[in-house]
Amino acid sequence: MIRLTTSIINSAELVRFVSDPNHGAFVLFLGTIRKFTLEKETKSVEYEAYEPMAVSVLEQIEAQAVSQFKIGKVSIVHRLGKCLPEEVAVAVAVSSSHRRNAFDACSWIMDEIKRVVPIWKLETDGDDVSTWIHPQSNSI
Amino acid sequence: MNLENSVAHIEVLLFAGLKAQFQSSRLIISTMTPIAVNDLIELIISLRPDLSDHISASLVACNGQIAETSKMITEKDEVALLPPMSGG
Repeated sequence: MIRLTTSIINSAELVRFVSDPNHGAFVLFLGTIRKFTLEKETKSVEYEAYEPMAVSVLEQIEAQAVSQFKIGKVSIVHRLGKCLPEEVAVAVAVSSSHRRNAFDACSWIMDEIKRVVPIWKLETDGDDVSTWIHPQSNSI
Repeated sequence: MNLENSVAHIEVLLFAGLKAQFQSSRLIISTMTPIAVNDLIELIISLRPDLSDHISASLVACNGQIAETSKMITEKDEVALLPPMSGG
């Protein structure tokens, strides 16, 4: 299951999707909005995507993860729009016969999401200053 | 595909910080086509040399796929300029 959503992410739904009686390992990763990074406060994070491409790339990541890590099912849901501290911004659920493959796949999927999926975040800090976050480049 | 050169308008979708800086979600570039991705990037930089670093750090997507710098683009392609991504 691949989804971009402006709604609160229901992690139970992701787990239900990957549930399989033949799998003995289920890993669920929830990436949440951090209120403080060191002493810098984050008031909100707003996500924007090039949606058709983002969905397509997420589907490619899902397919590669299943093939590369020999896992069962994958769910990936990413928020769009405004998120507040503690809210889940991204959720990944993986099922597998054994735990090691599920942990490794989940970690790899998250790295790939950050690296190649056309999604961007606009962080607003405690002084209401908003900055687009662009790793490898000075933020704008 | 007809690769004869002609002047055309290429629409370039913008996102995130580049969209904010250009104050628009798209650019219309009038140019001879087909045009290589690399040359298209140079044209965009010529519009906003102050954003050269940010534009150079961006990738170009053509019809939803990351395009090599040598790929030739026409006005029929969906083109997007993707600044470094920050999902998750």
